Amino acid sequence: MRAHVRRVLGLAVLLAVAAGPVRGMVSVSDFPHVVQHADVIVRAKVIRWDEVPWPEASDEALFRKKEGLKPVARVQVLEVRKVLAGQCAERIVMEPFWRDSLQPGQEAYLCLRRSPRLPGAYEAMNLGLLALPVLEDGRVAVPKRVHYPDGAERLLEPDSVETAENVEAALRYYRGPDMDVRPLKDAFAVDEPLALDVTLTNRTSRPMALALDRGRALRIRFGLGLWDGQGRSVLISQTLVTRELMMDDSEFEPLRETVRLDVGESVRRTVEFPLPPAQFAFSPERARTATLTYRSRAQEGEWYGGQFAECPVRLRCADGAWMDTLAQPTDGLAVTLHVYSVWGPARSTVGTPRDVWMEAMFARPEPGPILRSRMTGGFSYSPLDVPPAARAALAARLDVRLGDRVLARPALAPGGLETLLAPVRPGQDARVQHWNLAETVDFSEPGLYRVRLVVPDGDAAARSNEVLVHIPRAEGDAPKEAP
Amino acid sequence: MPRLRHLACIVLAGLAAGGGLLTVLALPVAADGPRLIAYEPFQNAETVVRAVAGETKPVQAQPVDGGTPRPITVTTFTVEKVLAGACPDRVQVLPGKHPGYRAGTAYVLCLVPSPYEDVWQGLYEGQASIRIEDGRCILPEFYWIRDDLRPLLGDFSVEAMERAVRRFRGPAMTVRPLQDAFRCDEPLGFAVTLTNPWPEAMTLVLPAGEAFGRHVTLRLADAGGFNALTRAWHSPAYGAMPPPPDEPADAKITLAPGESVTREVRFRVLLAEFRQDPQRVQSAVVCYSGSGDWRGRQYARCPVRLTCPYRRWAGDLARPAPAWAVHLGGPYWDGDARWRTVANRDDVPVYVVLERGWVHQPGRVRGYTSWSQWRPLADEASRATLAACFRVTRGGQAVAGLALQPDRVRALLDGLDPEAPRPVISDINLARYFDFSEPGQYEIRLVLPCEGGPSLSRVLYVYVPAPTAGAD
Repeated sequence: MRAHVRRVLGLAVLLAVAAGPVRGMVSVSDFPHVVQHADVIVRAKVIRWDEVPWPEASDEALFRKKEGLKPVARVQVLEVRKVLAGQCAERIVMEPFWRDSLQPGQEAYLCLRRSPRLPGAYEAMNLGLLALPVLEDGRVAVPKRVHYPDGAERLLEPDSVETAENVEAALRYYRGPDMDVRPLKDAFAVDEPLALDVTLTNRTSRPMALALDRGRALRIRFGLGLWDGQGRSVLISQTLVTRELMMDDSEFEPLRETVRLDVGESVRRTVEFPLPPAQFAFSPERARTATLTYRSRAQEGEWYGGQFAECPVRLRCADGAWMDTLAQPTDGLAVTLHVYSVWGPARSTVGTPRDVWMEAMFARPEPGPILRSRMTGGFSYSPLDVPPAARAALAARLDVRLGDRVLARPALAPGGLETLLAPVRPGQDARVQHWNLAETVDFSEPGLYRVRLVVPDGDAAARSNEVLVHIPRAEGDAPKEAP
Repeated sequence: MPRLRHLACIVLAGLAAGGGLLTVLALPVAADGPRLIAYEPFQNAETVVRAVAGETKPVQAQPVDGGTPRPITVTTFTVEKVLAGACPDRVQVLPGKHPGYRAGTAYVLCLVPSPYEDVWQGLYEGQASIRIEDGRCILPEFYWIRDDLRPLLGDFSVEAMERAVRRFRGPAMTVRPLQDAFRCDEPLGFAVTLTNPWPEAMTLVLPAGEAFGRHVTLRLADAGGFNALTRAWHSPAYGAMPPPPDEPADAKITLAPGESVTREVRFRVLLAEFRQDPQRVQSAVVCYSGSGDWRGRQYARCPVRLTCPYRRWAGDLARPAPAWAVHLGGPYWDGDARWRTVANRDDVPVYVVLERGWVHQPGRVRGYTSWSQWRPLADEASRATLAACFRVTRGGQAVAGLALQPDRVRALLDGLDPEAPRPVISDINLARYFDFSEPGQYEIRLVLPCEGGPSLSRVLYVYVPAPTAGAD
């Protein structure tokens, strides 16, 4: 497994390195996307270079220690002169660009997001390639790598010099309309549509046309996320994919509508999301926050991009027995269990007495601000390098039942687990793959098994979802009496 | 899926490097126009011929799935030389997306069977067709001629092209099962023999032991040519298998002209990876992916028989008719969701894929399939017709639904274009046609009346939780 991880990482590094020489030949990500996905957009001045320690268990720290280097990151301290979008402190720390970094004394407009590696620090989107340096006369240099997707307005010409006013107006326009969202009820039943009231307001300095379709088609403009109190997605994906997205797009053609907003004008719509129960990873009643993503990129002349907003939300569900089969995380740890790698039209969880393959996934919530950055939709995970001893420690946490009979009961002594879970970093998922439960549990009797993983976490225990495994009866197996 | 995740990691890493990765991947595709590495069309074609185009005219053609004959346009070719595979002296070829075959012009054609009897089609809808002018081959932009392939193509003369085709086509390959019959829950063992047909030595990456499994994939098909597994190709490296020990996966072997080498491989297929009753399996195709001084894929087929003692479970799996296979799935059923999909009583969405038998014709060995040919069927009439074919039961009791009208089903199927082999109805809300108001577990199956017997989808289990209304 370790070799496998090395290979994947090695390939990624190689590709990243290979990407270097061609960078200058081509455009990088679309400029409006970068503006919209930044956590914060600022005009800031570099004060000085500094060094901060890498987190102790991070790859960077381990690598530098192994190489005999000081486990510190070289960062830049910035003084924020103006916040154009998002919120941040007056002084911030930023990882330097990959190349052509700003130097102390230089000032620039920057699209920043929270660094995934260095807690509390920011990093420039697109490695700073779309930073807009402020020149000596107060004018702003637009990089030649600025690129626009088809359909987006070109407000800043690549490789030009612009006034600060024009740059700020362009950044505000690309950032999009202000979006406000609130639930239509205090609490929703899980088997009724979740209805949210959305208000979009044009606070930019120019009129804006937004794609806001009529009827059911409106829903395809929006994506819903549901999060628990620790910032974990209550759904199995970060964004609920509505069924409409899976249908033939032509069904919605006649329902397309463009709404034109003058400066300062607002538009309000109600969006309803049916909540398919199969999409829930945790009990719906754990949901505390809803996030709504809006996309407008339908037709020529419409504002191109996405906007994000969140609101508190509560869900109710009557079927306690069903909710009990979903994962129950602790504050510090979530555990998910599923069959390994089988997809497609066959029934996934069928096994044989010697083959019951699973994956276990562990996730820790990120401390501090909820992990919902504006960069939604991505994910990362790392396979856990599980030695046989740790695998045995994990196997001891299995709760396996056949009918009313308990075949394996979790032994909750924490020994061995700390070592296993230590590499699971906040904000990142870690998986144990290729885990054949049939090596530790007796699945020789045909029937429907219920399998669950129960992992101690401090004084509590994180319980995985319940996985049902069907061991079919082979001809010749005598039916056994129930005990 | 894990491989997709690895790929996603790599893509993310590339994005972290400023989008350069996408550029690297996109360079040969988008910027320069070509689509496939030059050897791939020759390897994926069932037959490669040098032929002269004749008349293009409409003909009445019989779909291989037994539907009604229909008028199509074909170009007749006179075959001058068969460069790979086998084919008759005169062939009829669909024009496809190709700009059109000129009468009297010679071509090098990469052909696969079309959905019509006795009619071929150019691979990749004709885009791989090579025109011959003044003794030279004009390759369309579709081909990406990598630097390492240029010496083989030489001056693009017909002779150089024919030699290159034979070379691209690779080693001869045969495969045989290691047992007369396998139990479906034991590894399926095959002996794979590769022979160098080339007049010069050929170096292949061909490690021994478990590492050989990294270079071969398996397809199992029933008598109608339908895939018996959930994946198009199964690999020993896929699925819930521990990775093989870190032995060299790139060990090379050099075969002298005419020399052969045999390796054994064992595929461990999990029960969950069968989409059909394992006992319906009739043939296996093994694909060898080579690198070294020959690169690409080679295929070989052999008969194989599986026994399955889990008869009741096998009865839940799909059972295609000779012409049609029906696949049924729940759109939200993936990843961390449970094996019993759960649904609201008002919302039981399923998707249906209708697959024609010709896609995996029994005679067809190579692996080319075009996913772009999926065609959505979203109109209400199709949906309602298909909805009437569902059997829904709860606790052994049938749940009332629409009355089945076989004529309308036949009309629906006859209306489907044989050239769009996988029409999809992506979203049928069964709650519109059946009553799911009682909480509990439902069994859902699609039974499509077809000539020669119905096509049965697998059984889909849907759990409807107790309603919330009135709970508080």
